[in-house]
Amino acid sequence: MKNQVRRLREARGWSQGELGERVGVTRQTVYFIETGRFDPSLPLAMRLARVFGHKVEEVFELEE
Amino acid sequence: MLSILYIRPEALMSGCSRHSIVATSLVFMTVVLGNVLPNGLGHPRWGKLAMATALIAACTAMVILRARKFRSLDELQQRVELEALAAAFGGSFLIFWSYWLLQAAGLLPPLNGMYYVLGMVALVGVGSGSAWGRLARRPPARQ
Repeated sequence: MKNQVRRLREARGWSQGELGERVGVTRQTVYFIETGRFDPSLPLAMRLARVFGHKVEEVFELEE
Repeated sequence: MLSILYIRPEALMSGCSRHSIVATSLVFMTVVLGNVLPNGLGHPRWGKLAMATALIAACTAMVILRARKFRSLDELQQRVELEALAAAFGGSFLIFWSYWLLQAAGLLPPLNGMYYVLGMVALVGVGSGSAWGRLARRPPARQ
């Protein structure tokens, strides 16, 4: 699954740890999500989309 | 010193569901009764029995605390922990079932029970390392 988490986070000047605190996960988990190595659950994906002020489908996209 | 080791019972209990505690106790009783009814009780030394009881209590506390810690982990850490436990469960089942069959066949000597514990703990560590390694090796998605 592709995602825009890194781009959106960097646009806001947040660190991975800061984003993690906002959505209730560790910095390590944010790193694995950003690199696409870990696909978050739907609730976590929705929390991420919410802190960025986007819809979940604007942040995460299923790869063909 | 003792006050450092004291853990509130209600804090321990909140880590495990009542169902899993009841189920574990029932399985333990079934195993004990299944062996005691046909063979009878042994003649334990009281000192060793007290030590065994203390160790059982310590292990129970450790398992419950680990269950509590699990709930405080985030979803990636929980997934790794579950993979580690699954690896430990499957691995130790295969190892000790195989050992028991070979023991029953007369090839191997009776197994010291401590090896069950050491084997499971080692396999949890290996499973956890393997799960983290697999995540790290997974190719990153195209952004």
